[in-house]
Amino acid sequence: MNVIRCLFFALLFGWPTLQAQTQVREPYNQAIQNLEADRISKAQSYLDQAKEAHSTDRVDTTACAIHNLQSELFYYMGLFQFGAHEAEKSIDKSLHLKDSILIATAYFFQGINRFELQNFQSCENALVQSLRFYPQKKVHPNRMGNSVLKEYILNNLAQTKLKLNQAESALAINRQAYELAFQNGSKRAISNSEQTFGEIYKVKGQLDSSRYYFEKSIHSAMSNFYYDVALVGHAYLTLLSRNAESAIKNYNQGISLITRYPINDFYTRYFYTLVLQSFKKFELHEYIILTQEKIIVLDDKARLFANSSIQEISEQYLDKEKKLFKAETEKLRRQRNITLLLVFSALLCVLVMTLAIVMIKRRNKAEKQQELIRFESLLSGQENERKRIAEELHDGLMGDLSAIKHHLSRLKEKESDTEKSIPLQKTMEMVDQVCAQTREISHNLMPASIAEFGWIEALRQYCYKLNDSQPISIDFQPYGQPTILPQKAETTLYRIVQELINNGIKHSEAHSILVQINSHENEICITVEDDGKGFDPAKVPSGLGLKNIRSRLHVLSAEMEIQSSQSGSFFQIIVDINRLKT
Amino acid sequence: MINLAIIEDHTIVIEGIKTLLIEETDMQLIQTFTKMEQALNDLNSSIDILLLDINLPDGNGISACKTFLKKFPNLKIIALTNYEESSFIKQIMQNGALGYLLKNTERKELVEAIHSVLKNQRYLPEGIAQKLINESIGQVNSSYFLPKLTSREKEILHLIVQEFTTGEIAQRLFITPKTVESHRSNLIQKLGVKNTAGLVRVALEKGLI
Repeated sequence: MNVIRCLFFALLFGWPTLQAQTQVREPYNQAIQNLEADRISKAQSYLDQAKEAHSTDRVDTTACAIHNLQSELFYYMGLFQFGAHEAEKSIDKSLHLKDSILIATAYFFQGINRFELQNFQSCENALVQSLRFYPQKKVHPNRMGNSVLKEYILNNLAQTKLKLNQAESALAINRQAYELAFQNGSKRAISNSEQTFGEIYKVKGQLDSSRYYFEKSIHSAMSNFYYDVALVGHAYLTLLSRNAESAIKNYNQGISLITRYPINDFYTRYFYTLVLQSFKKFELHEYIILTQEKIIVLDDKARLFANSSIQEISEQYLDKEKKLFKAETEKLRRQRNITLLLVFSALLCVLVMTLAIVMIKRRNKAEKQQELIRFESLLSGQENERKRIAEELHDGLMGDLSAIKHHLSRLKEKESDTEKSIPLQKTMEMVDQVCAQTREISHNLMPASIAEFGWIEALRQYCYKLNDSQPISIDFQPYGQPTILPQKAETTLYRIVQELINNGIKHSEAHSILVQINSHENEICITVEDDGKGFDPAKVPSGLGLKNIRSRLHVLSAEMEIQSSQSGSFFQIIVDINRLKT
Repeated sequence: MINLAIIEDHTIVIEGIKTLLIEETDMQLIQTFTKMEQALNDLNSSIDILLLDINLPDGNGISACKTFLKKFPNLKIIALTNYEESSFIKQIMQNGALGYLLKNTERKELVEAIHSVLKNQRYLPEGIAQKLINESIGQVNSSYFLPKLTSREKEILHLIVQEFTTGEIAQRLFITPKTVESHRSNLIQKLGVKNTAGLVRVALEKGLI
């Protein structure tokens, strides 16, 4: 397995920063240097110092850099689950900060940790995201952080593709990684890519090409002192050996590296597992036993390490996470308090608005009241004027006409000449007709019977008259003992019912109209019902004199219910007698 | 000789009536008043017939009828008005007037009316008599037949018989419970019953539902 040390040393000198910054940077850089030197535990303790100086609860680039380094350290400790978890936190924060190189780096560490967890599909997703966020421009070398290089992302993606049985795309991607490594002069990436070519060709069964690339990788690794990469290369060559002798030769070359240079146990163990496969193939029992022993020793060492420091580290980590979780809960609780406060203020706002609305409504109501008063005075003015004209016609004009007729009558009786008396007779008849018309007009203007006998009696008369003069049949049905109402109310009620009846006659094409008035102690219930063609109350809100009726009802504080269908219309008015003004 | 008096605020009408009676040798209009008050105080006891207008500036002829007859029990009153409505006619006749004439009456009718009332016979012009008869027939009809129910009342009566409560009826017909109550009391009033049980009884008896 190729491993990456894609680290930029952050340069302290360029940063004329605060004491706090230095307190973070110092242990952070120490951690990176120790990681470089494979001193993982030491790196971890320096990183812990950095964490103390800079809380990882914060959302800033420093916190992201610490998460990323922690993720890488967990990777080398073999705590891949923790590594992925740290990377996840870094992803969240760096996405929030919109810092593309940090996002790319975090996704990269998430990817390689997932690779080791054998989650190749999710590893691929993470690496693809890493590439997507990778900035086009060169990253400022001065920034703090173990920023990944693009060639490493590509190289790891190629390895992932290989695991996903996509050898062709693995090849294409690895070519890009190789090219980029040359362009950037990243030596380790060159040898890593060459090794990956070897692996890809091995999978494809092109063993000669595979061997060629592994040899090439060992060569470039050795010339740049990447002994771990060279060791893995020797392991592959052992595995690809055509015979036992060649296998042993390659194995010994690897062993000489192990004895000469300090190489990470991780790679050493990887070397032994690969060569073990080769020895099993060639049935080199002696070597098999030897290799197995080496692996057991390494595993014991690892277990020991795991039992001591890693366990400690992981426990510490879990403890810290727990604290973090607590802090998160606390934050949530605070947020909830803030939410409560917000809800409270919203309620207050609503209350204030409601009050404002109530006040506006009250004012509107007052305005409406005024309007009502205006309408009432208008109405009573109209009625008074009608009454005056009606009386004048009735008593004045009609009296005059009667007198004229009487005089004509006298003239006619005096006249014995029929030729002269006939026109006089005609003139008298004409005067009679004018009298009848005037009486009618006067009555329609203001039926005197309302004042004398009440509105119900006046309506009865009105209905009888209509029955005589109109083809429609009007059924007038009064029930109960009528209460004597204020004169204005009586006139208004008469007008309303008159208007409803007239509407029925004019518009409904009905055969009959039922007018029912129920007089109760406290209320009057008026029903006018016809069997006509009906109308749509929504479409004629102001037509049919309905608006006028409604205005009059308003003066009486009464409501009208209207129902209409093809089989007729129904109007019902309920008047609360106690609400009528005297 | 028949002595007549007239109360009429419109003098031109008085002139007209005088003109009509000029030829009548057995009748004489001996007193004319334009106000009720004046007439009540000054009416001569020898007056046989009073022509009385209904609308007067200081009073109403209908109620004045009683007052005159109380003071002059033998007086015969003929209402002389422009009102054609039966309620006026009925009311004034009930109050003791014997005749009822419209102001544009003719000499023949006036004379006939005077002679009739002197014999204590009621007199109404033919048109008015006809109208009163028609109306009274109509009234007999409406009280004789079962009251007609409105369509809404039919619906409500139907639901009442099916034991629905006011709230349920209101919900079904999309009206307020108050309106339902109004309909119910209308029905009780109309069908002349005392309560809801009575409504159900009448509804079933008369086949209203």
